[in-house]
Amino acid sequence: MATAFPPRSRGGALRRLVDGFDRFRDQHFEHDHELYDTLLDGQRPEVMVIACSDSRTDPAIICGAEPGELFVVRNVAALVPTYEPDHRPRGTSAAIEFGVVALGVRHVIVLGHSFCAGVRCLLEHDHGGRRFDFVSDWVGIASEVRDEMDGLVTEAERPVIARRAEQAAVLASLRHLHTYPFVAERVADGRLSLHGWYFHFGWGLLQAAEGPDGPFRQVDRGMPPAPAMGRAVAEPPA
Amino acid sequence: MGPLLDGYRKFREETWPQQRARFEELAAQGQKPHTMVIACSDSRVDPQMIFSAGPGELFVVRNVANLVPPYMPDAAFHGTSAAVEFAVRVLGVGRIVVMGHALCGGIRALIEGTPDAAADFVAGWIGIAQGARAAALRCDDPVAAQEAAEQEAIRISLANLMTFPWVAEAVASGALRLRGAHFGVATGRLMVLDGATGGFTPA
Ligand SMILES: [Zn+2]
Ligand SMILES: [Zn+2]
Repeated sequence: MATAFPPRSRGGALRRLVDGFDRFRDQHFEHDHELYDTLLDGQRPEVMVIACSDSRTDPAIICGAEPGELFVVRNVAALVPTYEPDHRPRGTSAAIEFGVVALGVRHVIVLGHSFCAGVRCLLEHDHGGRRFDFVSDWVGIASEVRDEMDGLVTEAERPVIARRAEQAAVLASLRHLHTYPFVAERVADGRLSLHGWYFHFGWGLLQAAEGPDGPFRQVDRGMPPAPAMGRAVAEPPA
Repeated sequence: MGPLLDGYRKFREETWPQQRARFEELAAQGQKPHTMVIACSDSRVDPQMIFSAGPGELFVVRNVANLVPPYMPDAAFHGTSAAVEFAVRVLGVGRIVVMGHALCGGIRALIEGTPDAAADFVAGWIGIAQGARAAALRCDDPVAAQEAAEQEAIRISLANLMTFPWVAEAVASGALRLRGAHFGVATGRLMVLDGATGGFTPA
C-alpha cells in the first residue's frame, strides 16, 4: 500500500481526508476487493505491531503492509506496561491479550522511532513537577530508561542521549511484554517471537534489536533479522 | 515476517525517495498533525490507508474497539487518555475522529461475552462500552445488532471525550471538533455521524 503519497491538495484538512478516502476507494478497495472479501469472516494477522501515535511513524507505511496483515496498537511512545490484571481498563494490555490469545499472532514487534516526543517527555520530566493529567504517568511506564540515562556519566550531547533512550524504551517494552504469562509461555514453546525495531525517520532507516539487551543493527537486504526474544519462527511458504 | 521486510525495502526504494524531503522536514521541525484518529487495532482498518494520509498528517491511537474511557486522572496508566491529552494540549489538533468499523471483534466480544482464555484485560477494557450492549439487545437481527453496538460505542467514546475538561474547553471555544465515523470493511464505505440527528450518513 501507499507506495506513493498523493500531492497535498489545497483546502481544509477535512477536505484532504475526504479526498484521501476517495483515493483509497479507487486505489485500494477496487483492486483489493477480493482480499477484503476473504477478510470478511474475520481477520487473521500473523503480526502485531505496537507503535507510537506519532503522525510520522505509521507502521503500515513503513512496512508496506496490506489490509489484514498487521494488528496494530498505537500509543504515546509505543510503551507496554507490565502485567497487572486488576480489571481496570487497560487498553494496551487488552490489545496484547486480544492479539496474542484470541488472534494467535506469531510475532509482536515493538516499533520505536527517532525524535519521539513521548520519550522526550520521559527524559525531561522534572521528577515530581507534574504538568500533565495523564502523559507524565503514562511515560513513567519506562521510568527505568530515565534512571538508566540519568546514571550515564557522559558528556554526550542531548540528541545522542535521546536516541539511546528511544532504543532503551523499546527494550523496556520487550521486557514488560515478557511479564505477561500468556506471552512468556508462547515465547518459550516457540509459538511467538518478540522483535524490537527502531525507525530512524530522519534517515528513513530501520534497525532491529539483536537480543533482549540490544544492540540495534540496521535491517538491510538479505535475511530478516532474528527476533530479540524467542525463536526465529520458520516462515510458511508464500 | 518476510513480506514485511519486502514492504520495508519497497518503502526504501519507492516511498523514501519520493517523500524524503517531507520526512526530513518533519524530523527537523517536529510533527504538526491536523487530526487525531482513534481507531481499532483491527488489521483491516488502518486510518492512514483509509484516508490516504501522508506522513505527518494523522496522530493515531489504535486500541481494541476504538474506545475512549471517561476522564479519570488517578495516576494509573491510561494510554488512550495520555494520547488524547498529548494531541489536544501539546499538538493542538483541530479535530478528533473516533473511527469504528464493521465486523469489530471487540464489539462482538462485548455482545457475546469474552472468551475465558482472554479474560485478564479484554473484558475490563471493552466494559467501557457496556452501554452499547443494550443497543444490540434491542435488535432481532444479529447483523443489525452488531452494527447498532458499533455505532453506539462510537457515541459513547465521543461522550467520554467531552468529560476531559481541556477537550470540552477546546470544543466550546471552537478550536476542536469531535467527529464519529464508521468504516464498512466489506463495502469500503465510510459513514459519518451526524451530530444533529445522531444517525450515520455516507461521507
Ligand atoms: Zn513517538
Ligand atoms: Zn474492531
